[in-house]
Amino acid sequence: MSNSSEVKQLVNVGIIAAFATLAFVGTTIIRIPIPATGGYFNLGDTFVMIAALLYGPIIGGLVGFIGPALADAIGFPQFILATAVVKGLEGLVVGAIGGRTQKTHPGRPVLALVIGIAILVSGYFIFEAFIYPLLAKTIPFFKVTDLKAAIAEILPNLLQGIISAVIAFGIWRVFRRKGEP
Amino acid sequence: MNWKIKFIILIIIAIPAFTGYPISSFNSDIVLGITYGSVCYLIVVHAIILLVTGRQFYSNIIALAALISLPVVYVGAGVSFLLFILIPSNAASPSVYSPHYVSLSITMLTVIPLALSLVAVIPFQDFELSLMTSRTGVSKLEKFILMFLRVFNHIVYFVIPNIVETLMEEAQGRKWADMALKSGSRSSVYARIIFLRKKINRIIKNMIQLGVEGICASIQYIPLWAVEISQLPDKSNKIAKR
Repeated sequence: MSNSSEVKQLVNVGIIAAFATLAFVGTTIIRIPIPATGGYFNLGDTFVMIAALLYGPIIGGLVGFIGPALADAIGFPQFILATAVVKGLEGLVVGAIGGRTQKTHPGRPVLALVIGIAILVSGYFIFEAFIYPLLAKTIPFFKVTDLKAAIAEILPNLLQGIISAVIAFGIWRVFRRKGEP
Repeated sequence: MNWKIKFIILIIIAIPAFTGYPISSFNSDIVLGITYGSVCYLIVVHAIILLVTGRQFYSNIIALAALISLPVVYVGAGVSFLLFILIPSNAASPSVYSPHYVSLSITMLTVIPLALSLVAVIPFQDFELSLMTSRTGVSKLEKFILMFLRVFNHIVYFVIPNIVETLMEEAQGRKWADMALKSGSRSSVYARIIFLRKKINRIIKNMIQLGVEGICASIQYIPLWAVEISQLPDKSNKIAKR
């Protein structure tokens, strides 16, 4: 392998590490519990979304898969599976639609963020309403949510997605003016 | 005790926390929300952490666990109580949500020390030093791990403390600005709405600025580190030369 391609790979690993750590910190520091489900509101999504917009789907997906799931390991281990899948998918799709579009019209990043919010809300709903209750039949560890709780969490998740997307879009605009970090 | 043995011991005792077995088998309540299984597990986990990591580290980790978990538990209970006061017909009553938060506090006081101990027993600095001075060469995976650890440590020990310090310095200035805005906004409802709008705008702007500063500070040395790490001797090259 040539040295320049190894440097490029190491830079990518560094960027994934940086954004995953920022997502981990963002998720851990601001935790507002949601009474109905036992889950919590956080702003870790901002770093998943901005990583996806700045560096594309692979880095966005990996950041979403690693960072917030690590934060769930500290206190909310039942949600690791849902978080890793939902936020990994969120980063992947946001990056695929709006990734690396610094020089284009902001329409695509906005569309990507809207779809990202939809994935966040619907993904957690599917996990909490259907997948977790199904898993709980064989593994009691997953007995944390049901359909009623999943419905109650739609609004807090929507709010979390919108606030995170607004901040991520603001950060994207700053980097659009100044050039990629 | 070797760090690898400590790590394996902690991994083994972490299994119930991340699978639920066999804690869920002992689910009769001591008081509502606290089961025999969860309390026994908490005691076992803390005893092993104390044995494996020592008294000094254990006391630090307990303080940190309390600092992380108590705000979550109290804010959760506060939000639930607020909902109960505002919409008593739809929200759960204190007798329903209290056991949940009691149980959550037990879970967090078990899992947080475990997770922090798992990270703390790995001698990252020794690992980095041994890789940087390795005579047998460094594999690709080790280079990636080295990069990941360097970035993680840089953010946790340098970027975040600096940002927190800056935030605390700026907090006083914001307090004065709020007081000035507030004093001019007592005249009408319209002025109060303007004040609220300005405040929300400023919070969002601050968060964007914080995000940009955090990202820039976190990734600024990555290209430099990538070049440095890529120049470490390759393990396969060493073997080929022999």
